[in-house]
Amino acid sequence: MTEGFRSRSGGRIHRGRKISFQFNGRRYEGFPGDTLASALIANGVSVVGRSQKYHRPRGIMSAGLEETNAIVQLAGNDDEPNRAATTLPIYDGLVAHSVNVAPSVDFDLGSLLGFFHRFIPAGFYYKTFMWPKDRWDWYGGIIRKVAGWGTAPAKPGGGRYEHRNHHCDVLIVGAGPAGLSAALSAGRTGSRILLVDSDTEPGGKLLSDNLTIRSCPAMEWVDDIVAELDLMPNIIRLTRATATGYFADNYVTVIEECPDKPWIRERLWKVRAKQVILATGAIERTLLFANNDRPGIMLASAAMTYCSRYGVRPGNTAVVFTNNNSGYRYAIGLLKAGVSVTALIDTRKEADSRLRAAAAGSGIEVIADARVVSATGRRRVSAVNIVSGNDQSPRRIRCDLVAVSGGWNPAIHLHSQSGGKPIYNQRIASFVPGESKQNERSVGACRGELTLQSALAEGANAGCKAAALCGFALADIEVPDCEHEPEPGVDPVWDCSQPGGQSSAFIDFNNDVTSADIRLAMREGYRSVELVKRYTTAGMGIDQGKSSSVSIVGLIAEIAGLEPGSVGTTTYRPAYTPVSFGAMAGPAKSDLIVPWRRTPVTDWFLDNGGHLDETGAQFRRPLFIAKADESAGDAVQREALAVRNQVGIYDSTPLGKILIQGPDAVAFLNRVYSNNWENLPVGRGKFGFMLHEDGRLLDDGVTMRISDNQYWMSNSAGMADVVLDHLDRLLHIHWPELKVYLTPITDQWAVVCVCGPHARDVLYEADIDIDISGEAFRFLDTRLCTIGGLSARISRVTYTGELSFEIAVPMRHGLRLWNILIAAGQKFGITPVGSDTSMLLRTEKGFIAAGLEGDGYADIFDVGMGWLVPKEKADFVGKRSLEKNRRSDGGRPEVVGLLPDNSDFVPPKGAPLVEYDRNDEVPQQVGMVTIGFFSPNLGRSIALAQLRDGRSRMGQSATIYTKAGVETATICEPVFIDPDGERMRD
Amino acid sequence: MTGYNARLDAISHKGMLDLRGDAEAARLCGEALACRFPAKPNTKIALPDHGALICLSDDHWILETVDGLQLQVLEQLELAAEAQFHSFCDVSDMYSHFRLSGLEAMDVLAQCVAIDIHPSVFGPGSTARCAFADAVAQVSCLDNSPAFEISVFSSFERYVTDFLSMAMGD
Repeated sequence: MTEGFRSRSGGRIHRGRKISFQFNGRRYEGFPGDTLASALIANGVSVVGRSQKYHRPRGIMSAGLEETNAIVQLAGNDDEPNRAATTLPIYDGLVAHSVNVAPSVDFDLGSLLGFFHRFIPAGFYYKTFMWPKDRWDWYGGIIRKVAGWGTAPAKPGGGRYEHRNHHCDVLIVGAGPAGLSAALSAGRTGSRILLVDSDTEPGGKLLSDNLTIRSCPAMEWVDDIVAELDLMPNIIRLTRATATGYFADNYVTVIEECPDKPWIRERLWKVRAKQVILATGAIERTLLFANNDRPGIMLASAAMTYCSRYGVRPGNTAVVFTNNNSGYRYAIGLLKAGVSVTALIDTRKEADSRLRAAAAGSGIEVIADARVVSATGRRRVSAVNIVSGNDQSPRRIRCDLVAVSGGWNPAIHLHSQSGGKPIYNQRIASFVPGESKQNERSVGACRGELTLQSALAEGANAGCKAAALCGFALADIEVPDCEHEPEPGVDPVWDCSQPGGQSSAFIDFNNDVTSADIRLAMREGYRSVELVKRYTTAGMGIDQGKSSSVSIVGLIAEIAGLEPGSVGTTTYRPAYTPVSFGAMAGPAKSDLIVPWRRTPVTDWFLDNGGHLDETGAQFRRPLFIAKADESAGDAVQREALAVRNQVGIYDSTPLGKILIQGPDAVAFLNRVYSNNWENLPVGRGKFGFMLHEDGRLLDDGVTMRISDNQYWMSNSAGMADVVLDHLDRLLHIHWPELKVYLTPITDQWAVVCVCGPHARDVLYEADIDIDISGEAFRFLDTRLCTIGGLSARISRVTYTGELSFEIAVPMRHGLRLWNILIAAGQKFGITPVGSDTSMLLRTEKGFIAAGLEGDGYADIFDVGMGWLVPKEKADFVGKRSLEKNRRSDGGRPEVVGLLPDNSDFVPPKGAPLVEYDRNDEVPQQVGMVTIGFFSPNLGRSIALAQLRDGRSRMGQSATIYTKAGVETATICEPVFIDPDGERMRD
Repeated sequence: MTGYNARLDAISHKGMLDLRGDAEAARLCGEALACRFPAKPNTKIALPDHGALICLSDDHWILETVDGLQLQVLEQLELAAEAQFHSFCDVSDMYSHFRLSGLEAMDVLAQCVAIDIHPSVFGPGSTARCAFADAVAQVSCLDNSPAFEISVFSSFERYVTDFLSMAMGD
């Protein structure tokens, strides 16, 4: 395909090399510096996509990130939806295609919907798809196929997505004239500047608007400024970097495409700036008339950009339609670029006299006090119909390009995201930033100051002020003289279509919302702009109000007879432009997304059949350690038998460990635990329960006194951080008078538990150097020792109900200790066990798990631990609430044991216990199973459960409700093995 | 080439003591070690014999020493601060240490931590305990070459190694 619309010269493209690319299966050529949009225009491609709802043919509308028509999907290795052709530089091998078309953009069956547009106005699906109720999923599937903006990539894209944190004194968003001016003045102070711009090169509107500064082409000024900025070590300047979100504390996200490293596809900058300068410019808006979406109708500024920046003519015969002075400049510019401008339609009676004279002098017919009411042509505009003055009879003007200039909307999105509330400005008939809520200031066109002179002056001032607020001395500000530009003089006209017309006037091209839709919504009572938005979807999606929001507000105001300022705007939310999931997700994959912690034995488990899972505090532990071809259930049963009959070994390293030190340690423990801690001798430990302030269970564990002023507290692995936070808060906020320090030492110590009848034998075999007989080393004793040549602390604690020893060594020796014990235990049949097995064993013994039997409601009495609350104890955390709750509450969820009548039936965790009222066939829940297992040591199934007033129901039958049916069980004491604790005290 | 110009090296164990106490305890310990405890949080000073002192807050320091000497130093400090309320604890095994260096070390580190690591703010002697990816680390600037030391809980060692390797572009 030849570039029939390419000018012979001009533009900022590099004509020395050609780039070949594909669009919709056809091969085209362009030049470096082209966007996909400019290259398609150069090749005479008019229809680039179809509209979302009616599948109307759509052409390129803009030349920037406000584009909503030319949304394409990249294919191949770069597979990515939602790319605007207007901001996508072409490259060799680029393959793109239109979205939302079937079978092709030229022949789209979906366009049949257009014939039914009267029956599917805004909100039709709210009314139409209401019944039958259960069919919404089916409807949804159809709607998604018909509408939508491309498809998610089927596989990971090429290249890397990176996240980077960055701090700076001043973040400047936008490298147009205002942004560059700000960067120069702030940069000269020495402050740290980050200057970001979404375009491929700096300059903003100067790249295409052929303005002059100091009587020279403005781009010469841009080149000089950029050269100076690039020499400053305190400035980082990014191109193709779009600020997409502005959050609290001046935290701004910036997506940078194709950064300095070729292997990085996108980089998400997480910028924390002391000061932010928004120089985001303004976006031209369109005007509403029937068929204003036809290919060949585009923003006047875009038409100018294609001519001057890319050296392509977007049409041969143009009509310019405007309501402000910008249209005149663009009409003359198009003419100079070789486009025949047959007419300039101005809705105003009066315009800037110099501009009007210049247009007329160029041979352009200026038709004042007139408006375009409709366009004709389907796949390309062929003519416009205009009416002028009081004469309502239309006049037809043939053209293949309509350049529309409906005024300028400052890009206030980031200001709004920062918390600022936009205010209406009559002068430009649009919204401008209101009061700044963060350390932010808007300058230039995004503040409604649309002339180049204003942009340069405001930018320079803002740069100095922002740097000064960061503590940098003011720099000399020099604002060069610029070419005179008239004020916009905009005529706020919102809808030019004729009432009752057959064709649609689109206000939101992205969502196919017409002026009729807005009128319908308001007739149906949706008068607030937020409700109109939600009912019609206007301003949603890719557009995010960039091209449509002010027109919507203006039209609502016109219909309601209000001032646009009193209508207000909708909320602009991040992201300002579409953000790829890759950029959001970043480079972390698999195990790097959520960290998991290892112990010295983790690799041993992985090498020996351990099935790892997170079991709290980000530690992954083996649930069981399976032998070859052994099922999970068989492994757990085997391990449980081994612990009860021989000896097991268990990695207890993840248990939380806190060193409590200081002269007030006992007082502290007395306050945080429900039981008494006086008189605990050195070398002894005690079991305790900790409560929340509201009386609920927090955690349980054993605390050992290891010296006069030192206590070693153990917590559940999953509660280690919570308990530390709880204790720290109490100590720092409530009891600062206590002389106690807390040191978390979980990662200092590897802990291995040896448990079972032969546990003592294993330790002797491992050459422990102290007497650990039952008399010399009792249950809950703790000592220093050496074992296998390693210095260690040994403690007698148990979570299985068996004779158990926990041996702690410095973390670096953990694997060595494990291997020593495994070797020593061989002759006793030592068996490594996992946490599932540990859970089975504690269930057999009836030991409470605060996170299971204590469900957030149960208290210490409910779980059968009331003996840990001495009546004489004056106070402890949670005591008052505990007593109050027990006085006022009714039936308590008490922990009981269950022996299923069917001894093979294992009650599933969480299964409800129910009872049937005599007069009611609907079962009422009275409890739930907290854990259930098949006990290999008992040869039958067992369970623990919470049951309302359970302890008064001993011996009665409980009904367990499961998906498979109803089972019954006998309620019993929650201890199934060794109720007197003889094994663990052996 | 894919990857940043940076290098990651594991550092072997150090002797490390967690020191809690008031200014008087710090003064007494300083006398015992012939140094002055830094009072400004997030600063690190070098000690003779390859040691260092990190100030985390006005009552919290980390003392680094040669691995193997920590219990001896602990005994020395316990004796020095005997009369003062304090809490000293050996934490040598709690941490794994890395050195990240190379021309683009900052580019790598900026992917892992949200603190400001610009040389004007975080130069040699600066240190901070901060979020490191989804873990916690003590990050110190060693020199302007640049080189950084990163200390993490030992259970996060593999995660941090893998995350840094990924950030380096390996």
